[in-house]
Amino acid sequence: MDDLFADAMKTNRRQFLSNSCRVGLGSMALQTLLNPQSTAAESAGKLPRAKRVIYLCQSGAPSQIDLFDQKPAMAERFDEDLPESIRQGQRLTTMTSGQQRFPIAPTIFQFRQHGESGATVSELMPHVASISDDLCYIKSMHTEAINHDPAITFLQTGAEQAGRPSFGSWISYGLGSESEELPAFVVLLSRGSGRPNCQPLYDRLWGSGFLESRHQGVKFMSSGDPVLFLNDPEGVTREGRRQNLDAIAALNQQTYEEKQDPEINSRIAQYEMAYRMQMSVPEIVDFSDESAATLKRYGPNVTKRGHYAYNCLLARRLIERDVRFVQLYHMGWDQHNALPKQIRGQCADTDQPSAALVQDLKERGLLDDTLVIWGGEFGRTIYSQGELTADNYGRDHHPRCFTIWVAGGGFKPGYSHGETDDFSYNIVRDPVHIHDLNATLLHQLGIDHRRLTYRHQGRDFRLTDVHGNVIHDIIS
Amino acid sequence: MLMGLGSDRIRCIAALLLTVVIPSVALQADGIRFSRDVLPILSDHCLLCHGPDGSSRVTEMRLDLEESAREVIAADEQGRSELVRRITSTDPGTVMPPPDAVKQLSERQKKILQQWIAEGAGWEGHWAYQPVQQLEIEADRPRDAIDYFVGRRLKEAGLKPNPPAEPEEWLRRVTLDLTGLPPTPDEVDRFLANLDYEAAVDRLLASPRYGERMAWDWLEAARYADTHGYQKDNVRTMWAWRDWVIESFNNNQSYDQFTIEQLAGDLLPRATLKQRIATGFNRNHRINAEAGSIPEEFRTEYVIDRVDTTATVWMGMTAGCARCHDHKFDPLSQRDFYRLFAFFNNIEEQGSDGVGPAAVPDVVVPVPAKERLLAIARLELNAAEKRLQAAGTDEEFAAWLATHRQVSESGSFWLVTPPEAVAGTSDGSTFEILADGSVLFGGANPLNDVHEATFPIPAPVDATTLRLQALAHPSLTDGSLARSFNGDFLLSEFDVLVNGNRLRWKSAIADRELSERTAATAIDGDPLTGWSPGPGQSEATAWFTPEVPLELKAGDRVTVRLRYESREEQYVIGRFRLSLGVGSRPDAEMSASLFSALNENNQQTLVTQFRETAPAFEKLRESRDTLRREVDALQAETVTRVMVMQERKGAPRVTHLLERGLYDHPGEVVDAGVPEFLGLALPEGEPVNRLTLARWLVDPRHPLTARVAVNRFWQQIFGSGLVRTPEDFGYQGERPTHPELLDWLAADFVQNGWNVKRLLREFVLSESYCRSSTVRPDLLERDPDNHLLGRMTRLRLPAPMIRDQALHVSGLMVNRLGGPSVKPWQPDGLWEAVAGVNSNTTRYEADSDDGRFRRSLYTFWKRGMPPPNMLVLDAASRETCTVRRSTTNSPLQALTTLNDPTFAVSAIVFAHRTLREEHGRDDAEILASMWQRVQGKDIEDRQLDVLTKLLEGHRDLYTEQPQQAAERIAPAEEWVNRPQPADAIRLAAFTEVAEVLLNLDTTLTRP
Repeated sequence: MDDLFADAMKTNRRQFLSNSCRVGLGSMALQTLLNPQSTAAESAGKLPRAKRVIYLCQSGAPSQIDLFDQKPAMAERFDEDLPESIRQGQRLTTMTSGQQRFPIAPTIFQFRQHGESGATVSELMPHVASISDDLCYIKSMHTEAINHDPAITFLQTGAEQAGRPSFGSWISYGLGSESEELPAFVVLLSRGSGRPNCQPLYDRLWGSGFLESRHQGVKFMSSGDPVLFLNDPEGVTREGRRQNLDAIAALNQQTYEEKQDPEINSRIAQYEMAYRMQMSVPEIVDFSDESAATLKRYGPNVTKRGHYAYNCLLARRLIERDVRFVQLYHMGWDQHNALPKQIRGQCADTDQPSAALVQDLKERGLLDDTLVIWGGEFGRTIYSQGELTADNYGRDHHPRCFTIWVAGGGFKPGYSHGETDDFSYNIVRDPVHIHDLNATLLHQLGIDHRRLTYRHQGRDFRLTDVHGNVIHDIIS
Repeated sequence: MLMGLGSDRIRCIAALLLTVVIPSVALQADGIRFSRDVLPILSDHCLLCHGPDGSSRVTEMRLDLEESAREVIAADEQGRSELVRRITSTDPGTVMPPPDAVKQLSERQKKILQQWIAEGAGWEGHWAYQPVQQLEIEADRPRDAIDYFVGRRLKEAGLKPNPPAEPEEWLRRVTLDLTGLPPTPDEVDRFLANLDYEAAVDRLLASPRYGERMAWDWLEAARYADTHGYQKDNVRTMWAWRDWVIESFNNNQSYDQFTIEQLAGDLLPRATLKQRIATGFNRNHRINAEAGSIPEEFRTEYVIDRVDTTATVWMGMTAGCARCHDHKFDPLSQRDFYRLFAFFNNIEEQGSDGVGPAAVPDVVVPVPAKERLLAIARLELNAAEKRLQAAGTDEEFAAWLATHRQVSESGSFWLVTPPEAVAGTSDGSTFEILADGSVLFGGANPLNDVHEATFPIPAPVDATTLRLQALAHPSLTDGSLARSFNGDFLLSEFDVLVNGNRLRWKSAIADRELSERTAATAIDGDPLTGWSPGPGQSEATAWFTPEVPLELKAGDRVTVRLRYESREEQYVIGRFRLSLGVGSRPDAEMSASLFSALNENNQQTLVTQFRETAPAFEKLRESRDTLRREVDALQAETVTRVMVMQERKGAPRVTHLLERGLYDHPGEVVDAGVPEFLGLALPEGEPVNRLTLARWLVDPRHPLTARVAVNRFWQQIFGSGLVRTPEDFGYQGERPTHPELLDWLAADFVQNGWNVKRLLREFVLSESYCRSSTVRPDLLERDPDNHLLGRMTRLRLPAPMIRDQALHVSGLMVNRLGGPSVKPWQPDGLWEAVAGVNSNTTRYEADSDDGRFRRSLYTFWKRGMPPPNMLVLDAASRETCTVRRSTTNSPLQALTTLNDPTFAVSAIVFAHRTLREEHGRDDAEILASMWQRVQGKDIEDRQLDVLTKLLEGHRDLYTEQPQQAAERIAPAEEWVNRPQPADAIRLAAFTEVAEVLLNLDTTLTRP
């Protein structure tokens, strides 16, 4: 039997225990972690393939049809009605359920094969296409919800309803923090230029749900202090703040001597960590030590805060400093009309930086044990929402199939998994549910998804609810 | 144990390790008790497959039912029980739980089961579903019962409790617990003078701050927020419901009535407005306005949320588990769930709603405070209007008239033509005609749009040009020209019809245009191309020249269509003004109304025009306009809307069991009803509705309601509940640490009219509450989680108390009860980073008035981005019902209390206030005073030493760098330089002391 933390703890046990003692890990987790089987399985000698995650969430749902899931047969069927045999009466959003007809809108973008693996990628993503031999494409992703809010909540927390911990929070809870000066789970946001008035995001996507709030994602801001309240108030000097922290520690120590409450020591430690964070975060967001070649690789927006390219490089810098989970969100993929125009903008934002990140990690030897995931909350329809013309169309939400790619962390490089029908409407081979992907990602992190649980309302909750299977075909 | 097999050896080592890591606890000395010792094991390890949920049950053998369980418990001829055989077997085909089960039994658990069977396998129902039983003990007052039961368990465990806390410590504790604020030095002095504990408690319970403190936890349970949540996350106005909660606690409304009014106030005979407002409790859930969402899907979610929340809050029941299938552990079937669902399934609500401030059904609530302000403002407006009407002399008028006649007669001017009517493609859009004749676009903001404006021609004119001005306005993006993401617009086509005939254009030019998007492309017939001035403009004008000059007659109608049909989204002019160029070289401006008056030569209209436009009266007009805006604003605020529960007219909506919990998989029809396993039926002869459900909940015989309520209040005062899982009183929840006490208090609570203040009063006057919180090493070792209450638990203050305390000690706090939510400081850019452009909560503008200093209870709560200083300090997110918070300790919390402007300014103002109040005293006295105010007790020498050194160190630093001192206190300039400028160096140095004091463990902790 695989054990939850056996793999993770092999490399990390000491760190983990010291963390748990320092921050007072809930007794629930401790019991799970230290159950006898974990020690047993530890001797099995398996190592987690991945230690860190960079999740490049493309919020709004990119069109698989225009990017990765090539459907040459569609070119012949321009403006034909989507056959009922394909649609099968499946539910639609109320944005298109009232449409008179569902005209097929073939992509207007050219696809070509790339690399030794021969991956087919559209011209919109030349940089990503060029690193296809490092990517594992999953073209048979599927999910439940048909609207953004429940769907992205599902992607990030494994449930459509609010209130569950996000992926990053589970990892923070399960694997703890490796850094003495940075949070385990960091969140970076950017707006797309393809569709600037995009779908919103919500704090709960990186929230800790019922887990303790210290597992919630810490947002690095695109303006103002890089981390909320990081900077001292005006007029405060570093030596002045140091004196204050020393006084706080001295007085807290006096309280400890009187009250003997271990939480007091923990508080002293947290104030020290805050002080260290104040020193280390500005270093991290200062890219001046990056070579010109590196900066160039990520593209012209790499030095602009709040841009996707900036966030990609920042993500690499964060994981280099032992942050466990970096969650990016790039907004603007919700292209109900004017898709060709908008998707060009989105790809211009993300193509080069995403590819640069993977290559950069690879060259630094970090890709082996870092999972990089690129994808959105669902796919888009083959039929056009609104008017279909020779050079313009829109696509509605489509949870039945979409494409995600994963690089590193033991996912099979240069591999394409699953297949959809000629209309990219239904999956015909090897479906992968969000729960399956999450189970597999956790597996690569050395975690049995069935065992990473937290008891809340009398039930042991998991990221994968009561579902999910590790897909062994996509990992090596 | 055989050591030959590898796996067994590992298990053996593992068992050894187990005893090292988790000290093995001796099996219960007082014998095995089914409900306490056995049922949790069965529930956690067996019931998934042998429990109530038929779909996951693998055999007919059930361990949740006594009869079925007896078959495997009973000993066979050899005296062996099948259950024992299974759990102890080493054969993978026989052992239970099976080898692939995630949850295996520990050796200790196996022993418990074996001992239980050896002792005769006693069986009893789950404790929480049994009737409340009040043991007869010698106790006059609940506090005696508390001390009796707590004392008994401590004695059994051989633990000596802590001595009483110092009086100052108790006062700080109880003041925080009951009002959420620390005691003032004055309150401490008065208490120490008489040590009258009861009087102190009565004073606190009578304070209006009590209701505010109690409301916070209730708001978290009720998932209260100021936005609808989900994607759009628009503003909602539920604050009148919040006011109801505060008032209810302050008036000490009995808990049964509090329950009935919130669940079914609308169904009470002759329901008052307040009773209807109370039902807002079950409308506080999120409401989805996402485009394309399927209404029934979300309406179903709302009803489920009500069932979940109501069950959690009143019954400690995790009903949500039975949404998709029978409950895996508790005897709640899926059918039970949908029978509860039926009670809440009959209001006339929309699944897709949540754009406006209240989703139907709602009620209009008058706001008396605003009505008074409105009356005053109206009087002032009247006076201002009279002043304007009396302005100017005859001579001034004559001169003015002459000037304008001259313009009019010159035949060359810009005739500004405000439209009579404007319409867009979306019903929800609004168009306001401003005083200068421009039109301001608001409300719904569709991706593409066509704005159609019509105006009449007042008098004959010859027009050579049409002028279109795009003007800036504060309501537009970045105060620019449009509501698009960057403030730019793209006018696809500019169509004008005169009396229905479309004009043909000769040319179009603009003063600002992008090279690809010239004004000329707005008359080229291609909707994809058009005129854009580019982002960041404060004004842009385009001139359109018709092929043939216009000869317009009085009464002609001009219709202008501004078409926005490109692939840019929401690229729509936010404020436009139309003018006709009269004559060949128009220059001066003239409004259509003045032009009309001049033509008609109507003296009265001309006089009005004179007063409305002559520069001499600018000030008078301004003061009138300001007052008019104030009146308009107040008028809108004299009422607020609150969403309420209200039954549909006609036949009730039919409720189906939903297969797998899916809205589009309706199963059998179910009627409203309550779960049978609780052993209490609905009263016969009453209508089966929410009111009867509410009355059933507060039936004195209900096994859960009083226990759950008492437990939650206990948690609020003692830090943890007697049942440490207040959200779950089911099989999987924790058992009460003091079951007899919980029952005693629950019975007493009901017998005494569900009197909440009385209950809390008894809690805080018990010896158990009054104990010192020192963590004695023997207590820490024997009872680390303080289950036995040998000491009082030290608690990190909840988020709102931490902020409120800082405002309170600094004197900045504005103690006004109730009212709309306020927006104190929060870092810039938080809302902008996540919100969609279509939301009306995209931009956070902090209040500039006392909204900054109200209690945290009143802080505006946007669900998509809650106030960061609350969230980081463990406040609930308000997305769903929360009745228990975790308390964590993180560096981000330290950064917040050190650097958040609210805390930074509080520190400065606190220091300043003390220096002012203690004027003329020496440093030590001032430091002692500051200490006293924050800690509620006298400073000790060793503490004074640290602070004195700190103060001196900072004074030296600031003396060397006086500029630094000035900067340090600058954020609080508003307060500290009045009445005279502060001594910056001294104030800055004491500010450092204040910062340290506000960040001490003792400050952040309830003692």
